[in-house]
Amino acid sequence: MKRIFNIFALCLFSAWCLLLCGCSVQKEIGNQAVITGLYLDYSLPAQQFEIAAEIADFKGYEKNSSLSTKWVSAGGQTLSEALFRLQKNVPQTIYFSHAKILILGPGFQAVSPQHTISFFLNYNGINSDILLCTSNANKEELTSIKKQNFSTEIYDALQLGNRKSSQLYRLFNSQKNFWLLPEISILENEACKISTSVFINGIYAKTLQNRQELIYLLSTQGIQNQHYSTENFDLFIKEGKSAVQDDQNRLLITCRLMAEISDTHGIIHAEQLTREAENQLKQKLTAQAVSFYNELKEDGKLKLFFNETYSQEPEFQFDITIMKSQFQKEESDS
Amino acid sequence: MKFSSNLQENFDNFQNIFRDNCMIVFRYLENAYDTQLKAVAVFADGLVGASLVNDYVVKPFVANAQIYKQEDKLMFAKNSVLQSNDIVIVTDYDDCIKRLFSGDVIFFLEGYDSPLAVNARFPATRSISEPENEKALKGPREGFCELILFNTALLMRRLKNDHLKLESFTLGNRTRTPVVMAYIEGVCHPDLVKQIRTQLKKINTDSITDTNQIAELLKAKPYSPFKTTGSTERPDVVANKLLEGRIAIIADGTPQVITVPFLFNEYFQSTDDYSINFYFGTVSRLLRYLSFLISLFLPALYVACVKFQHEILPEKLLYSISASRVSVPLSATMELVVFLLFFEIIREASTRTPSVIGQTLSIAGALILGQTAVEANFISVPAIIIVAISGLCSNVLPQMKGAMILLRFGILWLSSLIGIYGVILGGAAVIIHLADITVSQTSYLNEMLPSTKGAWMDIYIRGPYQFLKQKKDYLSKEN
Repeated sequence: MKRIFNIFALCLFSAWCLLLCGCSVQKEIGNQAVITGLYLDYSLPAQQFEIAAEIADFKGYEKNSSLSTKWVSAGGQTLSEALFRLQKNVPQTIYFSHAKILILGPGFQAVSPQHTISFFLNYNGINSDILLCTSNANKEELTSIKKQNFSTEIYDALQLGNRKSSQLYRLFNSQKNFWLLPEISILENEACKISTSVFINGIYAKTLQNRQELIYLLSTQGIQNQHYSTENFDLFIKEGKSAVQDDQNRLLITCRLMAEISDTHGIIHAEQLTREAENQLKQKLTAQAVSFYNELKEDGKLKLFFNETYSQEPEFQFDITIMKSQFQKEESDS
Repeated sequence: MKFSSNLQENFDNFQNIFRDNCMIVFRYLENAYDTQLKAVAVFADGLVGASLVNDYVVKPFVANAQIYKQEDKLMFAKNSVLQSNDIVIVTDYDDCIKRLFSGDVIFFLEGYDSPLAVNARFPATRSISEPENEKALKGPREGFCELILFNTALLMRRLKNDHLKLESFTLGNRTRTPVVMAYIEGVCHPDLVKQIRTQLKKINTDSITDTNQIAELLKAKPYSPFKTTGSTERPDVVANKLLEGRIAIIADGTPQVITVPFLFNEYFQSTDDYSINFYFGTVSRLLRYLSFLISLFLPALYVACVKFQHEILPEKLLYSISASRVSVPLSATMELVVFLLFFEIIREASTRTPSVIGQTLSIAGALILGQTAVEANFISVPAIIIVAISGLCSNVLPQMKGAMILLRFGILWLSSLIGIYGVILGGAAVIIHLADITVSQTSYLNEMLPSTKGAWMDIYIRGPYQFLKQKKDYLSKEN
């Protein structure tokens, strides 16, 4: 009797396992359309989502050859509908988990992408560490790119630039009121230029160019471990913080930086290195800060970036400490 | 059957019994000084030495000038005429037959109803050589042979100790195989000795030709794929097991000696571990544990990753597996099952064939089956790698080979149904089963979770010799 009960219990447990964990969800790896990257855009006039997926084609893929890919696209009134139609356009089951980047199209400059991020974060199968970026290219421009495995190339470039902060789950869990997303511009020769777009409170604010990102971060939250080049020096900024002093007479933004010299261009006497690097860094940063401020002022976006109670023109002051680096020690020894 | 005091009657009876056995020789003898004093020597040709029969029995009896004068001729023949070192009076018929087939000469004397059994054994066996399946890089090269006398001698040479006990049994109603139970008194737990002794006495079977039969009859869980008795051909291993407090069972006709109890961790121990530096011994032992896990779970994990949990795979590996599986018609499970079976067939074939052909066979099998199957898109390259690694790892633990093959397929089946949960379920089932086995009142996993300080020194690692405990606490109470 006990044996019969044991066999019955085992059968019941096995059936339970089958139901819960399921052979119904089995999917052979060879029958999957592996997506390497996603593009998403929203057309405000048509109120329609446009989705494009870069799908890996494994035929002919060998160890040393690069992966060939193709773009497949679909549209829909909702994101679910767009994804459903995308699946209809692909013979195999779409597999999202290895998708590396999610590119938001220019439509999201007009509409907040917050709901989209939330949707993908909860969407079964999408990795929450997918990198989010923006692009000014529309779907047609992107899908007509002849370059194979475009998403992986972009992903690798973003990884090199240490853009992990734009991962989906990091953005969603971020306590900050702004997001800095990498922005990809597709050039005529199909190469890419990566800049940074700023979303404040979920709304697109501005695309930052040429180290404006550094000035912005420095004046808002501080920076760490950044490379910066001046006329004669490659510098490594270890840490930078800012403080705002708002008197009746003047608005002073003081930035304190600790940096060290990585390399020099041109011949400078060893004793003058530190002073010269300090001067060059101070001059360049001040010029960039003033230029950035003026640009924001011209665009009428000052309030988005700086506290609106600031009524006066800010004065930027940089206190720079150049620490003795390994490079300088070697120079002085020689 | 009872013996008669009439020589002719005994002679006729034996001739009748062995009428169809051409190897039983009857030698009719008369004393030269009294031709009325007659005797018959019966022996099995091949089991006795011809010259020994002549020197021990024929010559001394025929040429003896005193025996016919004696009142008790049988006792005189036993003590003063026949020359062997071992002569006994046999009263029991079964004992007589057993001795005849052990190489004794049965000597019937006119007027006596009890024959003498004269030891004239000439053991025909192979010489002591290194066991083929348990070769050690270092350490002793001796191995057991098929003759129980040699085997017990090899053991006694290693344990020159008056506490070494060798209890004799005869198992098999028809084969009457001599079996010896060896243990060290004071080291081995008396209850264990009593239990095994009782179990051996209870064995009621027609034939015992191999110790594996005894092992199966002693098995705690008859349907378990895991062994509960150890098996070795090495006297040094048996000596060490006896010193740990275990019991060895030696049977005539087989070089395999079994040791009881056998616990799970013993699968991972090897003689070589103790012949080399403890660092290398530890590495070897850890590799064996790793091989066990790989052999058992790798095919199942592969199937789980390929069929269910693709997310586990790193990007490049996913691409590589996907690319290799694009043109393969079989499902991941089927290709693994088919090729694991092929692997086992190749292994079985190369084991059964002579060594030179066996090597060629395994190379041909690997090349032809592997390479051409991949070229023909019959199997993917990753599956070949998985089968090869898994098969290779199972060879690291030859004693567990059967269990691993069986369990590997079981876990693979579970994995193909429910993915990684199946692997976990299979692993849990194996652990539960192992924990459920009790060997001689000791848990099968007893040593895997050592409770005493320092006991782990010889389980997961091979600790320095000074820290190793020779005697196992759970096997011994007395010192």
